[in-house]
Amino acid sequence: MEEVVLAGVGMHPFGRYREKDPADIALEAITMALKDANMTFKDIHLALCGTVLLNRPQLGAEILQGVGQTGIPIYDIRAACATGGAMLRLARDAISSGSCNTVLVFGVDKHQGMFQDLGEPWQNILGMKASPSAFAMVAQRYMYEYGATEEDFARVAVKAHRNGHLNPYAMFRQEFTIEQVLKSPYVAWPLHLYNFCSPDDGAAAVIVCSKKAARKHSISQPVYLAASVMATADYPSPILEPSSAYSITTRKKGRPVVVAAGEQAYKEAGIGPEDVEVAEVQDTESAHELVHIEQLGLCRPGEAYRLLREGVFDITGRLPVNPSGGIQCKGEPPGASGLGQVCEIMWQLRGQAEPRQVNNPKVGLSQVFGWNHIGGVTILKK
Amino acid sequence: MKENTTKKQVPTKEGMLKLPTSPKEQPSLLGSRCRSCGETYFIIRNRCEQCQSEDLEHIELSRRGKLHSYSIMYYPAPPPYKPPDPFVPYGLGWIELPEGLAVLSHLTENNPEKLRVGMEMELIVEKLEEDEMGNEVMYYKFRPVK
Repeated sequence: MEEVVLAGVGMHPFGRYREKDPADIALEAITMALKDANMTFKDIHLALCGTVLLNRPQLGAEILQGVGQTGIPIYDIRAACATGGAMLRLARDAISSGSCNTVLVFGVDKHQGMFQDLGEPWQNILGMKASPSAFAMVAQRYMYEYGATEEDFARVAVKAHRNGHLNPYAMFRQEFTIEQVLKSPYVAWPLHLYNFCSPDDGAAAVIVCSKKAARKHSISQPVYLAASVMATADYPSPILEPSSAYSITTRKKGRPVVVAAGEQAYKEAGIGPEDVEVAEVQDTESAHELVHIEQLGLCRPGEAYRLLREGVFDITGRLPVNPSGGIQCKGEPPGASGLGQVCEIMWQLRGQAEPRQVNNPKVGLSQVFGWNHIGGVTILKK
Repeated sequence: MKENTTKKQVPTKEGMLKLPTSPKEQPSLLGSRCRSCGETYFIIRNRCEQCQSEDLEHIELSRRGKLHSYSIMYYPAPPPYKPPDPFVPYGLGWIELPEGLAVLSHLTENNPEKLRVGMEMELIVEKLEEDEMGNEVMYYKFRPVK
């Protein structure tokens, strides 16, 4: 298969920008990525625009008028919080099939309120599918099965904010103590306000290209897309995986979609989880950072909260996880958040992460999870 | 009080609940069982998710089950949910039923200290609101068995 190169990345800091149009936010990330890739928009053969919350027809085409109309195909893509990972897979396929040499992938969102109501109408009338409770029930079961405590979840948030306060692209840049996290109000027991990501505004962009195009544009530090997987669940889904489900079989145990996506990605990249040197995982709230680390096989089930206590996932640890601060600090514009992870991994692999830089990683992983069983895993190698 | 008993009760969603028509009857959750593969579902449906068969029978699910996991919502869900005023945190959980399925439900209990994975739970129904026809719209909850 044709090797696929990540040629450039760009981000608009995630935060709250009431006065800014989504197009202005997106164009800042796009122009930064094009510059990073030594390209102009005229060099792009295909563009993918990810959004989850913005309901504007042909948003991608509208936004890209700002960098010139060149007649290329432009698609809007939605895959909940997994939108970034899903788009990268499409971009990879477009290049590896030979149908084009350069793809601009970008995501943008503006937040529309605190909670998403994500069930069927009758469930929403009953208040049963506000997203925090679905994630909190996974956290509760994790405590029950493995003996983790609210303090362990607080420790995840503390680490996130220790990293995020070094990240100019993050919305929340203050550090917290365990006590402060535990004293913040419950949103959905056993999770507190400071355990959760917060919906916000932002954009991220990635230029993906063929090896030939990378040479043509003199990409000096090529990073390769070693694997890009977008998976949905096979039947049955696990009982607690956050989704709009209200009835799940218990006759067979479901496999989490992130497990499936991870296994496919390692196979595609020809590596194992032990080869990953830096990871950005979906931390919708603190508990899922631990759950996803385990689902990706980066440690054994039930082990992540203990390794966290030992500092394994710190920037200076054996396997730094979410050196960006994750979406617990950056906030989550869901159309852009997955690509935001990819930006961080790129900077880490190229040694450009400044105070957040981990020790010379060569393999990095980005993982997203979307409501209704969507898993995306991207592996980058330098 | 007499007027209340004459009011017609309807479920929040059709095919969800069997509501008692006399004080001797108990409410139950309705569902479907696939005649082809045996999979069971809460709320009556026409197609089996597992095997895609359209040969399903209606069933009443057991009124008792075991708590699989739970959470307490400390903020109200967004509309169309109408929170009580003042808002009271509410419990949600998954209940494992003997028919081989788990069902997402409101819980009567909102104190996590009083909930435990594996505890025995039983079904009750409560009035949500009155619709424009004057019917009582009913929904289901599970409560710990004393």
